Amino acid sequence: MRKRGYSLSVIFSSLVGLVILAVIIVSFSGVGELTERQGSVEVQNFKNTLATKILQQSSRQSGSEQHVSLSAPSSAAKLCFFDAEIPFDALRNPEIVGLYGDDLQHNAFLLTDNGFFAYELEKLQVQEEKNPLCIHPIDSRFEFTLHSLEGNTVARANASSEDVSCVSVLENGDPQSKIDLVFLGFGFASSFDFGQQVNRYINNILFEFEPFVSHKDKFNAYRIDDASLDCSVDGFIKCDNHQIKRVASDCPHDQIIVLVSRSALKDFISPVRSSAIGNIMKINTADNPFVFVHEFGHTFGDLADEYVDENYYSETIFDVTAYPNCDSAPCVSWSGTENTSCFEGCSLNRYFRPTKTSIMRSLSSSDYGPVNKEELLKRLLHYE
Amino acid sequence: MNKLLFLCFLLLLPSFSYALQDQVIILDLLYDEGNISLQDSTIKYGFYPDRRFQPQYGYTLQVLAEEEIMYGFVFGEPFKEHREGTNEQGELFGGLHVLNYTLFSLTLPYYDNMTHILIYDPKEVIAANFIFTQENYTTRWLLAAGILLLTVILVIAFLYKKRSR
Repeated sequence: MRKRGYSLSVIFSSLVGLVILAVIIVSFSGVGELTERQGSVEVQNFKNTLATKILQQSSRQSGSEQHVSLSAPSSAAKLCFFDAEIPFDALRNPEIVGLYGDDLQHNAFLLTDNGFFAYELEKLQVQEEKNPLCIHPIDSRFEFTLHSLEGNTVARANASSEDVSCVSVLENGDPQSKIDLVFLGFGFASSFDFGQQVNRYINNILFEFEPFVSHKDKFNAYRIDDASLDCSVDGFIKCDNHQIKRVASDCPHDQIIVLVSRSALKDFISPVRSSAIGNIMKINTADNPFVFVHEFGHTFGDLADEYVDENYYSETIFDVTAYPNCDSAPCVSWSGTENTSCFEGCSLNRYFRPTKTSIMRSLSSSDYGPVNKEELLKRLLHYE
Repeated sequence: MNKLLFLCFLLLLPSFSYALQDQVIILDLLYDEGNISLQDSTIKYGFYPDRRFQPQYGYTLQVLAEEEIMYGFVFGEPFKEHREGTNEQGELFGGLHVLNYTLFSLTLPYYDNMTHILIYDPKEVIAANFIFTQENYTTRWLLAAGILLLTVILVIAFLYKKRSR
C-alpha cells in the first residue's frame, strides 16, 4: 500500500513539475509580452502627464495655447494622435491607420520598443487635416502645442518634431490608378534641401519631357524625409535594397527614386554613376539632371541604352529582342514609325537605333525620340 | 482543497498571443547564378506597387493559399542593373551590368492564409518555393493544448490518489 502511495506521489509531483515547466515556457513570451505591454512605470507616468495636460488645457479659455515639453519614456519612438471617427489620411502614417483604423475608443498612441500603447484621452481633439498627427522625440522630449477649443484640446506639432511617413508632393488621384513615384534621400543636410531637389527633379526635369508633360495628371509623387538609408557611394551607389523597399512602402510607389546628394567638386574628384535596377533608380544629384530621365526610361519604359560602350557591353549578355529601341538591320521593329531610320550603334555597334540621338543616347538631347515615346505612351495608357 | 484550487489556477494560466495581420510583405531575396532563395521577409502596414504594366518576359511570382492563387505578377530579371556615368563632354558611358549574385526585394500584399510563394523563371521552371506557416500561432495552440492535457491528467491522478486513500 505504502509503495503504491509512494509511486502515486512521485507521478503526481512529476506531473505538477511538468505542467509548471510547460506553462513557464509557453507563457514566458505570451505573459512576458503582456507584462511589457502593460507598460513600465515610465510609460504610465507619461500617459498620466499627457492626460493631465490635455484636461488642463481644455478648461482654459478657447483660443489659448500652451507649449508642452514632455519627457519621453526611454524607449519611446513616436507619439501619435489619431481619431478614427473623422476623415484621416493614411499616408501620414500607414502603420497607425492600419493598426487602429477601426479603433473608435483610443485616440493617442505611444510607440516604444515593445510596440504601441493605446490611450483613451478625454477632451483630446485631432484636426482633420492632420489626422493622424505623429511626433517624434527630440533630445528625449516630446514637444508640441496644445490649443483650447470650446472645451476640448487640439494638439499641434512643431515643424521640427512632426513625423509624417509619406509627404505628398504631387497628387492627381487614387494611387491605384496613378503612376506613383516615391523619392528617398541620402546624404542631404536637411529635409528642406531634399524637398527642394525632389521638386526640381519632378517639375523642372521629368515633366519637361514628352510624353510625360502631356500626361502629368497620371502621376502622383511622394517623398519620405529621414529615410535613414544604408548606402555606400564608391564609384556607384550601393544601398540595402530591402531597406529601400521597406521604407518606400510607407508611400504608394510604382517607381522608387533614391536621390544621393553630392557636391559638384566631390563628384569631379570621385565620379559616381547613377543606376537603375528593377523599379529603383539611384541618382547622383551632382550628375547632369537629365540622367534621371534616362534612368526613368530604363525602369518605366524598359528602354535600352542607345549609346555604345563596347568595353562594357562585351562582358554582358545583351538580348536585343528584349528592347523596343534596339534592333538588328534593317530595323523592322519600328519600320512603321515616322521620323525614324536605322542608325548604327545601340548599346553595341552591331545593333541599330531609331534616331540619331535621344535621351537614351546622350544627355544633351531633350527628347526621347518617337519610338521611345511610343513605348512610354503604351505604358502610360494603362493608367488613368 | 488548496491543491484543487492550485490545479484550477494551473488550468487558467496558459496564455498565448495572436499575430496581428499586416498589409504588405517585403521579400528579401538572393539571386545566385539562377537560384533564388529567401533571406528575410518583413511584414508591415504599407503600400505595394500596383503593377498595372508588367513585362511580357521575366520571372513570375505567385502567392498561394494551398492551391488557390491569391496574387501573381511578372517581374523583370532582377540581376540586370543599368549604370551610367558622364564624361567631361557630358557623354554617357557605362551600360548594362549583369550580376550573377545579388540581393533584391519584392513588395507584395500579405495574406494571412498564404501557404507558399512560387517563383517561376522565364522558362516557366520553378526557381523558388517558399513555405509560409502561421508558426507562432500553431505552435502556441499545440503547446496550450498539451498543457491542458497534462493538467487534465494531473487532475485525474489527484482524484484517483484521493479515492485510493
